[in-house]
Amino acid sequence: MVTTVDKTVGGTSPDYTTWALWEADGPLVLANVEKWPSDNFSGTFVQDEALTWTSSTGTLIDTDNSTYMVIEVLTGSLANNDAISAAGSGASCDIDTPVTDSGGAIWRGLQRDVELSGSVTIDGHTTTATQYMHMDAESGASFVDQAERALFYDSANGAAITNGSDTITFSDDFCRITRLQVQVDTGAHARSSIRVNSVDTFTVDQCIVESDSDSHKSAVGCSSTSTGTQIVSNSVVVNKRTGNSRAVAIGAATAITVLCYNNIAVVPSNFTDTAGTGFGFNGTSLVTVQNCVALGYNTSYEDANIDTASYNARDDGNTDVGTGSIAVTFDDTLIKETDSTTGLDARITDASSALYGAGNTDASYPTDIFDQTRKTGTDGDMGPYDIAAAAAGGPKNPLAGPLSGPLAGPLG
Amino acid sequence: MAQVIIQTIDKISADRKTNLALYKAGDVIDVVEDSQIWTENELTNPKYRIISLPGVPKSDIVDALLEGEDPELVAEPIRRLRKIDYSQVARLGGKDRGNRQSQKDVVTPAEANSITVLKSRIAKVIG
Repeated sequence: MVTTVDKTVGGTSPDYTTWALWEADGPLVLANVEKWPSDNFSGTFVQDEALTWTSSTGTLIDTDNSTYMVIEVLTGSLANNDAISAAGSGASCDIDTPVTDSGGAIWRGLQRDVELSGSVTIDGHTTTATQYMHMDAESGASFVDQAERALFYDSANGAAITNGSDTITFSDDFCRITRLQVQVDTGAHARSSIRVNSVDTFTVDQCIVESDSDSHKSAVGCSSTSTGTQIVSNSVVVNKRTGNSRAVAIGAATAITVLCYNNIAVVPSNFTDTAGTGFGFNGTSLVTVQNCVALGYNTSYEDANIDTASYNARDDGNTDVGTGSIAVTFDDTLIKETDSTTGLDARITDASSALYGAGNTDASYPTDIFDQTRKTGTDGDMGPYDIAAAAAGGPKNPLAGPLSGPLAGPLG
Repeated sequence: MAQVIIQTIDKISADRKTNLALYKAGDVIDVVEDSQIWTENELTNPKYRIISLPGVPKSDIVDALLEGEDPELVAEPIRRLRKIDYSQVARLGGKDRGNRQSQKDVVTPAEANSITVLKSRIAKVIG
């Protein structure tokens, strides 16, 4: 089994105060991580310190200093009754059996409900499809956990990361980012909010990604030397600029698989885009775009480079992107708020929206951005938010969102 | 006002490209505001060193770091090759040395001015 090593990031008394420190402590080779029950603890081990035991060496990945050790084995191997010692802290313990997990690790950071300012580059870790680096939000800390909040970058709604340049750069294979808000703000070096640099496979799911960059970079940008399967799903991507920017740009010199499901890309109505693209792809990629919405861009989709398209919406004057696709007018009958000066809200308005019931829920993506079950098949809505699902399932935390209707206003 | 946290020991991989991407002694891991509250592990772990730069705005350090990047090398693992440009550091001068704090080093502008890149300066500090 693969062991998931969770570490909190930011906020009060976290394991790491910044994402860069979390990344720096990640295992070098995630497949070499093992979790063992342990006993006879003496002293207190220190995170990431060097360990030695019978003709072997390793690095401490995690422990409760009481019942278990998670160790990256650098040389040798682990076995029952191995006496582990750390020269740095002076701590020691004994390995017990049976091994809990010997199948490597997922190194997962869980951001607290704060906005962190800074960048992180994930690089230098040897990963696999099942052993990878994962940026996520702590339970209850994501905007996802505050269902029925407006869909735009707002640190008041949950864990968020902002920076003046490439906010997050993935240079390791198989990285994932979920349930976070990511922004690149204006700055002399402003580039992508999420930059994917020559990797095999990455996943962006249930994220709000905002770019305030005018430097002709993409909010989610994947370099042309990437491989594998690149996935962007259930996400909101916002370009607050009018230049030659893209919301999602994915391409490769060799054929890769690109999957875009249930996303909305928006240039807020208080900007006039003259050269940008919502969803842009390289011609050699095998691209699927389904249930997506592109609003406010000069070009909604690079149609010629999409292989399989269906049930998408656009407002750039072109007719459609595949079966079931529609041309729409970008106004506040479509989504709740189009203007970012008063707070963009990318949720569709109600059953009168042209996006309502116009999509086709894919079986691989049965839930929406708020983790709520989508309507089935062609009853589904376009974009990341399925309005009827919200009404049927209700918010996860009904006290978290603002009250409406007869319950609105102060109590008493 | 800024603090810089740096790596003090080399992380090593047998793979050449991976090794380039791993933190080495003196590499800047992160730049944060003076108000940053560190964890006990971050303050005491010998693999880190925190450099306090009184009077130096975080944005100046970040800008200087970024100007060391070569955009033509984006496919390479260059993040730990970032350097602070000397001219950027030099123009930060004129501030008084602060008190040395526990687990932290305070770098004066004069010291920063005396070296070509802050990365080298940091290596001297921890050495």
